[in-house]
Amino acid sequence: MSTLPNPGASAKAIQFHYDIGNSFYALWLDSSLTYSCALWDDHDTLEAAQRAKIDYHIEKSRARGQARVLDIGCGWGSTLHRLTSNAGVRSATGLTLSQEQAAYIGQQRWPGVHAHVESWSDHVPSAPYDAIISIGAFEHFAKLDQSPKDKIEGYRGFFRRCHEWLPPGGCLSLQTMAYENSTRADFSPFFASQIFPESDLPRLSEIASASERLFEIVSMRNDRAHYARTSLEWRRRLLRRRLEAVALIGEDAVARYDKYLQLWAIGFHIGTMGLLRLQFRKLEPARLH
Amino acid sequence: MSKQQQDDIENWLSDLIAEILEIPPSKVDRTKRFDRYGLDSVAAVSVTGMLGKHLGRDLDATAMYDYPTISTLSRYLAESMEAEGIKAESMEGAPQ
Ligand SMILES: C[S@@+](CC[C@H](N)C(=O)[O-])C[C@H]1O[C@@H](n2cnc3c(N)ncnc32)[C@H](O)[C@@H]1O
Repeated sequence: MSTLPNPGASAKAIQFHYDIGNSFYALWLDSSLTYSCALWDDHDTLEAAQRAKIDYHIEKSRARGQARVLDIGCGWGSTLHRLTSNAGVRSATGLTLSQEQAAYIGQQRWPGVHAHVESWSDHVPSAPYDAIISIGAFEHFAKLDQSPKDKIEGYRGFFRRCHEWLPPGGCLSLQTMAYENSTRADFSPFFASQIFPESDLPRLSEIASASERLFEIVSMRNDRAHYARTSLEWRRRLLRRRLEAVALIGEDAVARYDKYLQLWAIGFHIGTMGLLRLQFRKLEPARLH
Repeated sequence: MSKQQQDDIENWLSDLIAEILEIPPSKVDRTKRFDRYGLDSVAAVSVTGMLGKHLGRDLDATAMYDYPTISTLSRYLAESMEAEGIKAESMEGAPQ
């Protein structure tokens, strides 16, 4: 199995955002350092809502009690840790393009957890995985300057890999932001240049067409209101620790994060962006090409 | 009391919108939706930021979408500030 070119954001672009400093993110994320939309349902603390989100994906990927689980875009490892410490998973492998994140996970010495600084497109597993989870990383798997055809082809490469790595009937649980009532032309230049360089959002139709005949979509939730709430909560926490944040990354950078979190809250609130949680089941037999 | 508060906020907001749009404050319609004035989400973030500073309280930018005119936003703020004030007073007066 050969590796693919990474169709999305480069390691450099990812590190621009995620390697600004672990202690900065620790100021305003919850204590598990989960950096993606929470699942609020009946929960009212960020901590509990993040755990509920992780448990949701553990259930949908059917990872509980499995031997080998893959987390694509593992952040600071909250899902990996939950898999091995709570869901009876023997080995949880995480992929990230951020060196700071991988170093942080290494320092935790969580038994059964392995993190690699590697794109999914370069990953060559030593054995198949029983379940795959990917939360808040798909937003980095395409670039704004790709043609619509190349964009879907890039996504399809991702689904093809997941398909190869899973057993018959195996599941992938995917969470991603998406264009809702907006298009590429609406993608804010502020985000493209100062927050998430080299990244583009998917549309639901692109995800559907890229996964066609590889996976069937078993369930889906659009929880954009949950992301509006998560963003506002993050911002409140950031403002509470403002002085410390400024000391760590400077006034301008804190202002940038403040603005980005507010713009996100608005986008999810009014529906220019959506938040999809999708459960995929591997189709068998599949005609891959 | 809340009416006075509401008028103050309305006047302050009208002046701010007039300044942003470079029109006289008398031309600002307090019942016209912010988006009809061409104010986008970036403008919403800065308007709520300045308004929050002016009022000395934190304000979510999404409030401009839930209360999309000068008059509805001002009423909401005056009422919620009054409610918070009442809460604070009654807590002070509560038996220890
Ligand atoms: C917003 S964070 C989400 C982290 C984590 N899943 C969570 O919910 O806390 C996005 C993650 O995707 C990773 N990522 C982006 N592009 C990637 C790629 N091509 N391969 C693997 N990981 C990638 C980043 O390094 C980062 O860890």
